[in-house]
Amino acid sequence: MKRRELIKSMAAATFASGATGLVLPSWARAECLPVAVPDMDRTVVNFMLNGGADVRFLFMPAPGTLAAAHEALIYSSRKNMFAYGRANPGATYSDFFAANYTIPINDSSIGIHNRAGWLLSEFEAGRVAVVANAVCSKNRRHDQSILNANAGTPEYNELVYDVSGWGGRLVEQVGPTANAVELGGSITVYSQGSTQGSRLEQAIHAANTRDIALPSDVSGTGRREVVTRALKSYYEARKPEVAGNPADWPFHTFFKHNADFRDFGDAMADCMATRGSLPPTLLHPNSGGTFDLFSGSLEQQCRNLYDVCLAPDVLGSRTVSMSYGGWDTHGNQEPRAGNNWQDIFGTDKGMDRVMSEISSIPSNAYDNLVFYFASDFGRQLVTNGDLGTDHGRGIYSILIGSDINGGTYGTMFPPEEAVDNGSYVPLERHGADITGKTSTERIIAEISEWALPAGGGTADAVVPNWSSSDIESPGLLNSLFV
Amino acid sequence: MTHKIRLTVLVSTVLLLVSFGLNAAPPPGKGGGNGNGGGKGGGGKTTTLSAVKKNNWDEAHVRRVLRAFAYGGFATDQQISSWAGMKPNQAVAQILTFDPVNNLLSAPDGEVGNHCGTLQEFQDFISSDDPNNPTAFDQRSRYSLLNSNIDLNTTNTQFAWTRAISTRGCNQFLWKTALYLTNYHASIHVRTPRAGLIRDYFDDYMEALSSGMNFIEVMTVGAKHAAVSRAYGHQYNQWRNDEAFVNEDFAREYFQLFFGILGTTEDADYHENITIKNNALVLTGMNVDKQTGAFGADGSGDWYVSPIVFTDHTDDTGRNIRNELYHYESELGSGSCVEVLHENICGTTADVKLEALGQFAGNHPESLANVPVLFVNFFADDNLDSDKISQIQGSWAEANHDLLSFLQEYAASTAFHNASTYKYFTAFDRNFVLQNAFTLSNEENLSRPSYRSPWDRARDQGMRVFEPIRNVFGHQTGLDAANNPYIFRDGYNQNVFDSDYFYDYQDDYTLSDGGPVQTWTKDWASVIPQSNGQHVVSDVADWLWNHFIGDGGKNFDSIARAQVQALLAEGRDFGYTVDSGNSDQAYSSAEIEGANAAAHAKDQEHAGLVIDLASGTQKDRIGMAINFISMTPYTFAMEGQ
Repeated sequence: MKRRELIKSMAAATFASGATGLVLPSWARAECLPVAVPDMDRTVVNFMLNGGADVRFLFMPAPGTLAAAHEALIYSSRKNMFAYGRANPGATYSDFFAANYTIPINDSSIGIHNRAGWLLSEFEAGRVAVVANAVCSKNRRHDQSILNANAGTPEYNELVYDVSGWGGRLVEQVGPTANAVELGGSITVYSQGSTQGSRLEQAIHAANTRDIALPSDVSGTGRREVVTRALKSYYEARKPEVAGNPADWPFHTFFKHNADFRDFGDAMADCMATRGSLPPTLLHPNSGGTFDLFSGSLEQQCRNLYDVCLAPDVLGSRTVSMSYGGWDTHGNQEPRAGNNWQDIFGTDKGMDRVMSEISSIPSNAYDNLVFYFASDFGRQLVTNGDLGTDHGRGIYSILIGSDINGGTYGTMFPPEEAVDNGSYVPLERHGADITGKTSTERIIAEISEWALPAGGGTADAVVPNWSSSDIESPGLLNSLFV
Repeated sequence: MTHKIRLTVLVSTVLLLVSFGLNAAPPPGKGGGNGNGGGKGGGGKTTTLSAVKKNNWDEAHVRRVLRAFAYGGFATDQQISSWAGMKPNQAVAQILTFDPVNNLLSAPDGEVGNHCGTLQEFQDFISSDDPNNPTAFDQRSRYSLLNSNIDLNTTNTQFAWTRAISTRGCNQFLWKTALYLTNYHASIHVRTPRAGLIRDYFDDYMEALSSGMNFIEVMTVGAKHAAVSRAYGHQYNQWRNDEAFVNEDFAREYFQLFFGILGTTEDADYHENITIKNNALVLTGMNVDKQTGAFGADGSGDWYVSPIVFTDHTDDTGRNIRNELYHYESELGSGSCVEVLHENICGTTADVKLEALGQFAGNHPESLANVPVLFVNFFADDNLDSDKISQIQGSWAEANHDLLSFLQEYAASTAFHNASTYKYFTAFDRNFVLQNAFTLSNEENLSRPSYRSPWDRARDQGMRVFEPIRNVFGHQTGLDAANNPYIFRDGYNQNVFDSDYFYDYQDDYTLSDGGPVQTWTKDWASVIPQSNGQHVVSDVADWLWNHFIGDGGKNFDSIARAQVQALLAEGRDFGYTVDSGNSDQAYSSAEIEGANAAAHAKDQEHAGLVIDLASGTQKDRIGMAINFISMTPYTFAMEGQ
């Protein structure tokens, strides 16, 4: 059945069933405009580092920029995590630093880990902001903290997933045609909307943007064609009849999946056919390309992100959700975290490849993306007995984009970590962590202000408590965006 | 290579200053119930689960229990009818047991049904040349623990586990509960323990449940397990020269995951810096022995074995194991004590301390509040509300950690059989329920090729046993599956493109190399009842729907019925049978029920036709009907009423 006929038959079926007040289904919105590549609205990419990333691993103080005692404590608390530190017990901090970190040309106070070469170049280009001492959760439990991060509610202390995410709330504020697009393996709380029972109304799962379709061969009388027709017509005819069922009727979800695939399958296929194939730099060697990361999942998400930028009209994307797991580095942290960071931030790796390709798309996509790197929590200051770090709370948040005012926000290495707080010296204490001083609600509010169209929604609706949440110093984030 | 750290051990004077600080867990007992007659008590009394009234109990209730707790099981229609005629608690007590064999739920069909007590037993048997092994000869190597290189083979072990779920004689409820414990509640990933040790982990839970251990005892079996020590890495945690060489990964997750203690009712500083840190000391001295040639494997990396031996000794491979010496202050013997959860936990070795700690962990208010909810959420309800939770918590408190009696009480309760209850199916749930409904004999189950098991489908939909997608935080949940449209699409594609899966009704096989060819044949007529000595399309359609969906026909709407009846009557989709020139026309319920004369007449004609289930053509049509039914939304979730 052609699209026009399908709409017609659904309308007829709706009328026949007596259903009223049927909300226009989301599939009716999808359309591949007859243009080369349309411009993209400002789009937030929430990049979740699942497992509790030790972001401080990426950043160390440049030698000589802290008090000597502070620098010595930072090194002694961390050096055994590093092969260099273990192999060179007599090495100085400067020696260690020179072997592992590079000072960016525009900030002489910090070093960025050598396995994050693209991050270094972006920092030097002024496109990276690091918000030190951020906190997205007040506990050290993975599941609760990930929920807190995705919901954008650090104080929330119930393990209930039937809540809205800040990405879902953001697209609701943008308007009914905006969507949160999940590029990973499953839709997270981040993309869930505010209405219980239909939290995915403005969420799209695009785990493989080049493969969104359901069987549609309806000619012939073979088993395959017969079953295809039976299922296709069942879902088409039945969906409007169940539209009036209670919002929490559990089977709505599957009617929606069917409709979304029928819609986006057609529209995305149209767009991908007319707007170009994936570049070899984003294809795995098995597919004739040169893109080969530790994480196949990140490779696929990068391809999906590229396609999101090719087809914003079809997807209605205003926020995108990406993820990378494997950060729970209780043991053997250096190679594990190092591989992870390299996959994402390394020269010619994930972000480098995809952003390079996106910059070649004839649209404004490159400049209208802002990446926000979040995680469950940070990790403890002191290396544990297993060459790793245990769960902490405070973390560094990283934002990347053309509209970011690059630099560091907050005190990267607070002096109080090196002094006795009356009970202990944090950098000597197993269990001590980064003290969270700036709630991620503040960061999310700034991102929301940037992303929301003029006169189209408010950050207050995305992050209700942002203005009363913690901040390291008043006005700290006022210039986070250009 | 473990690096030294100095772990601060707080002195007792400091500990005394820490307030006990426990707030009561969310108190059960708001009274009332859920509007469905549920909820004993009220007025300040503890609220507990209430059984469905006998008059309301019917076959739909029984099928609901079977689908939620036992992947549908293999009970006959007669047995289901019998259970429907019993008092709910009596029926559920028969349906849900932890016995290795439950004759009423899953009666053994041949010798294989007597090898279901553990995965090892089952896997060894179906991969063996035992003359009573009904597994097709050319399939046996697919289930062997070892591959051709004499290494442990995870995939084969997963194949075997998958076959067990669809084997008559295996207790699907017992296996599903052990799945929950090993892949959700106390989840670990196979990658470090490898197939042999993680199989032991699964089997030790099976045996713990079958032997009647209570929840605390069961979880202590897990906490002491070699597979857990390998997976979390505390295998190498040591206390040496008054210093701890530890990570605190399992020290935290022991509370959060094994016992549901998040620390939310605890003083945060106490929980982080006393309970968790000191539990890391409890977990010192848990190194795992190796045994030469363990599991028959060649590679020494496969030789880690359970149980942990909590002494100082030399293992079979010559490794010095110092599980007593390296345990926290073991020189004090039974006077080696450490404060955890406000209690002094004493013992010379880690196992003694863990046995002591389990009692306090299992009785912690947070554990009492959370553990039963976790179980119910896994098996039966993605829409728990405060009333239902109160009842669940109240009954768990009364059950005194008797997991079986608690789950039985829940399965017969109005909290489960409730209009607000629904459960999304994981890829395992959906594919196993369908597989069990489709499979009519052990011969069929074990002679079909391994790729005709749900293993492939579940894998493509994100699930392989012992490979939880969230590692220690567990496997795919029903919500994960429901929210992932690609799982829906994969099911759709499987039903359309993998046409043989639900069409197969006979195949040849041998039981030995070059042995005589045998043929298994599916006989739908043996299970689908007749009306007046005939199989009428509408009756067969009803039976198939209820057999696969189990909702008593609640969601068997006019459109679905028209499609199933057309497939059974003509082997064509309904639109084609009405107008072959406009076969993709979608007909609404109203049209089928009379608004469209041609459609209505065709549907009525199909309904009354008599069919011969013995014919190959008709079996093929049944396959089409199953492919349709099993891809409707109602195989992706179930309702409580």
